[in-house]
Amino acid sequence: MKISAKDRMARLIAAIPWIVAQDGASIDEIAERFDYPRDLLLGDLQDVVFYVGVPPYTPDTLIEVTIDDDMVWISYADWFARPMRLSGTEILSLLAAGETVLAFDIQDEAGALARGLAKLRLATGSDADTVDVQLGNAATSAMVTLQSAATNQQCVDISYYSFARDEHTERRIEPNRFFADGGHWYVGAYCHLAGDERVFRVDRIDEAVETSADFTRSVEAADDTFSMADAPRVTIELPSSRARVLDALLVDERSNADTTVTVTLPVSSTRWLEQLLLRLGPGARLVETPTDNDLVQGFDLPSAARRILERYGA
Amino acid sequence: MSKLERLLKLLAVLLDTTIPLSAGDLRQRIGGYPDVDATFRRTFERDKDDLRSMGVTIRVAPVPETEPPLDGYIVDQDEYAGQELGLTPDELAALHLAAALVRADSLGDDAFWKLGGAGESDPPSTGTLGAISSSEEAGLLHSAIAEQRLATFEYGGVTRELEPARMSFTRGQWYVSGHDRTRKAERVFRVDRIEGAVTLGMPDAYQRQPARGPEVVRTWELGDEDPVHALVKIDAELALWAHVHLRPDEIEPNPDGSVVVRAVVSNTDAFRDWVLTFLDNAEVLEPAELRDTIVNWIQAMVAT
Repeated sequence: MKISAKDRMARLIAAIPWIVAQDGASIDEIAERFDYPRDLLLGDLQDVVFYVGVPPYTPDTLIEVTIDDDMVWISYADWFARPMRLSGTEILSLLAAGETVLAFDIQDEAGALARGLAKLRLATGSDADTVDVQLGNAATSAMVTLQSAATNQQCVDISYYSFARDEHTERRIEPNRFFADGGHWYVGAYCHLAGDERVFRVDRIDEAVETSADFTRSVEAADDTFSMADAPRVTIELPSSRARVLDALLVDERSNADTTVTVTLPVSSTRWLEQLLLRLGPGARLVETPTDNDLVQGFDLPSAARRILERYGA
Repeated sequence: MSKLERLLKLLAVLLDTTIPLSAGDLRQRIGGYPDVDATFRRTFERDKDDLRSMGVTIRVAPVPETEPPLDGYIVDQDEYAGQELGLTPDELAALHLAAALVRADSLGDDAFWKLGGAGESDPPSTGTLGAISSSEEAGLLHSAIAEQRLATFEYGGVTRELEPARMSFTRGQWYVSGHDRTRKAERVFRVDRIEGAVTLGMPDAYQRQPARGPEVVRTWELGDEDPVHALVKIDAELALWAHVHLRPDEIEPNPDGSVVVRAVVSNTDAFRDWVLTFLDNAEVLEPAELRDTIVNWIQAMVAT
């Protein structure tokens, strides 16, 4: 592993105050905590840190590094006695991540996360009301049921609305992973009806009931990213002024011209594509559609527009 | 002298000094810089950039008793050094795991090094829960709340003076809400739509209002048009969706399972956009001008 001088510096100015505060630490532990290859760390401490100080570079103005067997002690490192301040972005990210996980009620029985967050808030002047995170909009009851079932490895019976087919189905699923994307919660599960892994949008689950039936399959190492890899793609050109509509969507490719934007994105259903184009408005057009896919084949924008006009009696 | 040694000495000297030091002073104190003046300049500029990219704030101020004044450099110890959090190992590990669970993009390993370093934690068995990315502006606005600093920025072509009260991450975006002194009203702003830089005023510039309940961000309220009260009927098949954006007291159920929702519209474009996501499963009941907005929009599409 090649680590640049700058990256070694970032590790050292964090590791030095920690070693000082510990009153000595083992080389192995420092290497692990700061992701610092052992030999490189040892070399940097002996050949570099040892010579760091301020004029006149007499022993009392140089950092003192003592290495004995596998232990390191550091003293006279006054300028590096405290670690660097967290940036505003880092503080906000930490709080947001912590609040999210806490709200999700995932394994914080010992309360370590709650305590850590409280300390972080105290030190940064934030309070419990300052940061609010909603990774996805979903009825909490369904979410809680699914989460509990995943922990207990019990099947869940759901009533699910499929936007693509405009129909409700009853399914038994074995939920094994959760993720949020574009403001929606998704649950990945083995679906008995489909006989395969499926992804469901949690806010389209009308009802979820945990059953007493155990999972029929062992949970494999979960795939941690949601992929619409198999979904058909379309390319749309739209006026730049309408680009806001795309904000919450997954977009594969995007190129900006003077007054237009061209995007390629996955499409989950004909209806979905119709509503997208209607929202984009008169200036948007389909540049490219796959020809071999049923979903896009049934696409009929004029009919979709006509049905809306009929509803308004226009 | 190695680059690592030079960078460490430069930072130590900048932290140690009580008066701003000129480039020449620093060159002399640190030693080990190239002999050729032009090469020294380039190396010195690069070193400063490296320190800044690590998050070190290097102040530039005139060197005392120089005429014409020379640029001097100094790092304030209290600005450099962090808050002592005093996290126990299990608290640090819990925060590290939380960051992994939500895939916080702006949270690198170096943030955890500053907190005392965290070893490898096991990847979460349920996969990640989602992603939160935080911009520099979002971080800045959050620090403004903590210190009650006024935030000034351009938004929608208007200069706003905001008393920030709350940061909300919803639908994949950061929003800041608070009292907008320019509009003399509570407002919500999407952070990535702020035009240009955010400037912060002095600390303790206002009294922080107690926060309201969780923020439900409704795009049709994010505008400066005169508010219009609208009623929208949503068919039974999609009635569940109303709950995604609206509070229960804004939703009136019908016996057939459909619902009528009340919305206060101050951004017509965003409102039309939302209604159209329902295709022909929703209808604006009133007022007439918002019905016309939908009809005109669709008719313009049919005409092309």
